[in-house]
Amino acid sequence: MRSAIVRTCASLAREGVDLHFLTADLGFKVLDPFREPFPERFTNAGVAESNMISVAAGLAMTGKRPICYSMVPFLFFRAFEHVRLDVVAPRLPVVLVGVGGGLSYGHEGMSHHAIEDVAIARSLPGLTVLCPGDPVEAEAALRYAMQLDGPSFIRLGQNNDPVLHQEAPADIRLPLPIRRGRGEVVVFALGHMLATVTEAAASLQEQGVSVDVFSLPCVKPFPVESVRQLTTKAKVVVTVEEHSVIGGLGTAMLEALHGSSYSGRFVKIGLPDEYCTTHGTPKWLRTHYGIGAADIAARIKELAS
Amino acid sequence: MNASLADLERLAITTRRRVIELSYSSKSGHIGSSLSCVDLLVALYERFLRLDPAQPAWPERDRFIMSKGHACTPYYVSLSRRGFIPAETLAEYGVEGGVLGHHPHKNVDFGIELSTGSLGHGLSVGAGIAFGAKLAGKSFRTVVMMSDGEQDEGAVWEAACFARHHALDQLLAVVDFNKMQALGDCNEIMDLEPLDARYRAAGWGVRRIDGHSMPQIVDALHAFPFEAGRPSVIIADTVKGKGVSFMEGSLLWHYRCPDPREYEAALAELKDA
Repeated sequence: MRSAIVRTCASLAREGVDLHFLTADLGFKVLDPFREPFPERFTNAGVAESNMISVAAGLAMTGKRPICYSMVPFLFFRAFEHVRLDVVAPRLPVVLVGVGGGLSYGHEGMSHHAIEDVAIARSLPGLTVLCPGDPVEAEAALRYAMQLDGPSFIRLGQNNDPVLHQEAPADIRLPLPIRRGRGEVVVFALGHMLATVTEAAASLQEQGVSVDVFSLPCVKPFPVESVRQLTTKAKVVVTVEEHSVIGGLGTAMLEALHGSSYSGRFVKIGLPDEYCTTHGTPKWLRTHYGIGAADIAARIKELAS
Repeated sequence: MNASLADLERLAITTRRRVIELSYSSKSGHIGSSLSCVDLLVALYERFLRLDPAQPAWPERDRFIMSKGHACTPYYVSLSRRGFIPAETLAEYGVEGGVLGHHPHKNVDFGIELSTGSLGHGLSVGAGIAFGAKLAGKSFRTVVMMSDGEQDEGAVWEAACFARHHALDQLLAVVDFNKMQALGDCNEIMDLEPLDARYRAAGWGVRRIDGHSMPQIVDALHAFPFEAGRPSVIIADTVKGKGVSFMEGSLLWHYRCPDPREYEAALAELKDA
């Protein structure tokens, strides 16, 4: 998804968008498809995230469309008050692109993981929060964010995520269907967990369990009405996220279903309320935490039976 | 603590070999940043830091913080040699489910005082520890090793001002100034020079040395604290990837891990003296 974002930045620049790309000294090689053709629109602000965010605010105040890039913890946690006070509160059109959502930086450890970012981002008034599920969604998310008249946060995984959509989504703000079943077991996936959920759904199909899978890239503003419509026939609703079970997609879903007519079962699958103290690849860590494809399939099968 | 200069130089070669081996076996990067600080770490652990592996939580121990946590392998190797990290644990570096990851995770039994990996935290925490020692009338020293790219972080300079204001003369910062950061040369991204003058202007005692010269490193450590009533900093001019010709001064080796041919070639260059 990183490469899709960088490619889209180059396309937007060619289309005449007055964007300026800032990185906090991260993105070796991956940023070259933008940096090389547009050196005057590219600034490496150094390992100085707080300054980068507030500089972006200043650039936006002169009419530029800044995009700030780093790993989620450094971009969002480290520079948090700069994000809150200088970008979000004045509703400036700055796009924050964070890579490494969830456990994407596996072996690098908890300093590089981000399991609380969606919860925090959702609580910021006026911040659009986008978690694309594949490269196609990533492009659509950036294009949507760049035409907003306010701030946005785009949370990505690592790279090399599979393409899961045949064509560009019509509206990135809505749940996007990946697989349609009978509408009785409806699964919503957050961001890069879409590939894992799709894998789980395929295995469930082989076992005779039909599920509907939706990507839910826009967690704020949350598509409350769409979600309620998609779950009218449902007996089981499941959310899957590589994020703490506190405050992320599952919480947003509960808030949306509360007060609706939905009376079936609801389960949120996510990470426990603890920091990771072990080490492994993202896939290994997902299995460690019981959110790998096989774990998800087993949970859903049990719920559906 | 009585290692001769020749011993230290030999140990630096052994440590570099181990860094290459660990990176190769675990397929992890950051070799360049690791090789540049080997001599400094060897001197600190063999000639400076007062530690006792038999009682790792000894309240009077010197505190060392590896603020440039991405260069964890020579740090783990040094801790293993001092008897903190068991050899079998070190051998499982980067193994799934293991305890030693690609950035240090706090584990006082292993001599790891702070989880690091996000730059620009170590000097502030180190200043807090040194301040706590001073308030309690204790004499242990606190040492913080930072990278050059880390000097971009504003928090480093907030800590520098705090440490000077509170006259934390038992605080020693070491900057591994290998002139390269993640995306390129420091002087092209955020020019830090004259780095020694910047610390001097902030009120620190400063020594600028060749960070690969064991005599210069040991001499600087002996001279600590450099000025009464002031924190001290060693600005160590180093070479990224030091010790392996094809890794020296190469940004690629911030990321790459060696293939079998490069692995053999690197070890061939690091022959024990």
